[in-house]
Amino acid sequence: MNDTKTILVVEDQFLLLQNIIFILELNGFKTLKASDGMEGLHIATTYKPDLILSDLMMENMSGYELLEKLKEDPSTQNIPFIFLTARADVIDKDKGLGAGARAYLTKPFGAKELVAMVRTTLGLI
Amino acid sequence: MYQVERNKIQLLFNGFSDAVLFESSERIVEFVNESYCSLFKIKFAPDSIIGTNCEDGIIAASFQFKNPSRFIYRIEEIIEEALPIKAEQVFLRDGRFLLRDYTPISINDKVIGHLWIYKEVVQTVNQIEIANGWPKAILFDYLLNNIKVGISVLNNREEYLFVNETDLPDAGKRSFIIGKTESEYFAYNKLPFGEKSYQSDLFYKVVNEGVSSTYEYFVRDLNGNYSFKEITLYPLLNEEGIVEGVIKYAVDISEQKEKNLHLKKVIQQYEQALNNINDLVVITNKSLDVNFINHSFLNKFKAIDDKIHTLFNHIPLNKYEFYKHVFSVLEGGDANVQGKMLVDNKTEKKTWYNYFINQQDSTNENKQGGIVAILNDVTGKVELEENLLEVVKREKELNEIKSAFVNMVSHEMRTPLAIISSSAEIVQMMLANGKPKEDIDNYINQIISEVERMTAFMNDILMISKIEAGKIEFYPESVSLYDFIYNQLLPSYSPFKDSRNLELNTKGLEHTITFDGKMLRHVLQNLIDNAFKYSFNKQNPRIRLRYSKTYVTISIVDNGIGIHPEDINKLFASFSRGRNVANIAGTGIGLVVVKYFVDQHNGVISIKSKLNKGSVFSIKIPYK
Repeated sequence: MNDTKTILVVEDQFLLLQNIIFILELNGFKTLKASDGMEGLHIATTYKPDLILSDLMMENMSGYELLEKLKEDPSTQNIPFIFLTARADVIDKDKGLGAGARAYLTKPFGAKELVAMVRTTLGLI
Repeated sequence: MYQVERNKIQLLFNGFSDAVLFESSERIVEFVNESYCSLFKIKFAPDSIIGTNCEDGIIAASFQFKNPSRFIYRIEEIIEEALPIKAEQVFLRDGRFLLRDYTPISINDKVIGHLWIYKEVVQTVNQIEIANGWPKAILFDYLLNNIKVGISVLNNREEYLFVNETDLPDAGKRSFIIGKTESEYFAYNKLPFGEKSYQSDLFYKVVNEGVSSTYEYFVRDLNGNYSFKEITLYPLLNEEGIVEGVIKYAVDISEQKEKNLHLKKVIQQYEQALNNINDLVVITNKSLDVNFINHSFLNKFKAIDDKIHTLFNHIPLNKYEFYKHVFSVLEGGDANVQGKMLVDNKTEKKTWYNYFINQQDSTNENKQGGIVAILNDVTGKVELEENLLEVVKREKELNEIKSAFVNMVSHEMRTPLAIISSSAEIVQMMLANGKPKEDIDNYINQIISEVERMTAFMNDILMISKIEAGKIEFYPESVSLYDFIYNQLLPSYSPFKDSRNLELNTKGLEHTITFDGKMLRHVLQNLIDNAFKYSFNKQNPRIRLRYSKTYVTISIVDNGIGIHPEDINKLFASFSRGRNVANIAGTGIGLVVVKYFVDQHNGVISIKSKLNKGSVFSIKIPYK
């Protein structure tokens, strides 16, 4: 169905991480997982995923910091980045997009919504 | 019109000491005063002469003059010319002379009358040379006698050579005193001779040293009346420059003295008034020496050193702003300045003063261009303002708390909701794909556990509201603390989800304590969770029990990120969180509940923390 794109999911809530992975894999994506920003940065620079889905508030490097670090590195700066967050304010949304994120998904979100956003961002639709 | 003019003259010259006569152009006497009658030896009262013919009177009076026909002729000449005349000499038979002033009175250029004034000059004129119409000696004599200053000349043995009329009006006494000293004069007049040595000393000082001297003295004058005099003694030098005597000027300053006395009284009244007001008043000269300070001022700003009389002795120099203002006024930059000053010494309560500093009127010779400072206590007003600000600030804080609460609740609900919704969808997919029940159960359990988590969170919030409403009940029981922790808490943390463990150690003789299990569990769980949460990737957190004589100390120790010193005291307020935890999930509720529960046990909770080193939360609970 697709060219098996690899997606890195960064989320500190273990259960949510597992569910997202499950949903993405069920829809034919390869996945990588990280439980905080630091780990996410390491995996992103090592494996160069096709897209990154990341939580915003995490211990040990937040989603913002992760995005900033990725933008500094030429080898990772073009990886599409989607924020997943419980912060629903418009101001936060602007901040995330301003930092260079492609999209912004507010918790709670539906599986279809998630997959559709991932596909759109990857240019698969 | 004529009547008006006459009345004016009458009004002007009645009681005048010089002789005055006013006659109409028809030479009828319109006005004559007392002095005129006495000068010309007229035996009638002035009123009875009015209306008589002036020419007759002149003829009668002319016999007193040295040259009667010349006198009459001259009067006719003057009237004919009708030009004003000043101080024309008229010689009397007895050698004296008079000075005559003539003024024609006219209305619309028509002469309606003649005003004559004769001034008596008491001096014989036998050997006087006449120059420029005025005999010089007479002029000087005239001046000497008419000046308001008592003038006398004495030789260097204190004997009078000359006394003017002002000093001694009686002509007989005036000639009598010549050649005598003052004491001899008083003795002859049977006037008591008082303490004169002071004046005598000064007299001989002037004679011996040839310098002038001025002094004020309460003296008896030559008439025997006492008055305040300002006396100046000048050395009288002869052609060789040797002191031959003394010229003495005496000015009566009694009136001035009385004025000063009155002024002093007024000042005293002012000072009395200033002493009775609440405002603090101080008046200083240019060097800030205190000229006046009222009681209120002294009560608030006691002198530091009683021997010093400057402003610095009352208001310490460290009141920099105040003195800056004082000097700006002193230097004339500002005529007046006001400001506010806080006085906060250890012995008294904080006091706020409004102060007004005014320049003293430097044109007044009694003042030396210093300052007048008025202070009023405005502490009450300032406190009121502060209270109002506090209320406003509190209101603002409450609003911030409210919005922080709404944000926090929405955030805390969204993550479990995300898990629930994704799990539910996965279950749906699995059912559609015919997955085994075991796989599906896993996700259903997740939904259940997240619902529980949300419920717990809701309970936390309810707990806060209950606590704040004072509706929590306390059920204490006596239990072994160690057993309680070992059995009920440790299992949940062995290991924790990040695979670290909680370490427990104990010191001292174990003691039974009475506590509410639910509450204590809540307290410890909360603190332990925090210890893990804020020491990510660091050493294992530890729980320590220390049994002392009367209480047990439970400490939860971590090597985490620590708490900023300024945040420590705020941690027990609702929704307050440290500044360094923005990226770590948390509600800011936990410690509020912890504090409340510890309070219920009569316990004390304290925090020791260092940024990036770790924190120790200690709870002390008494045994009984």
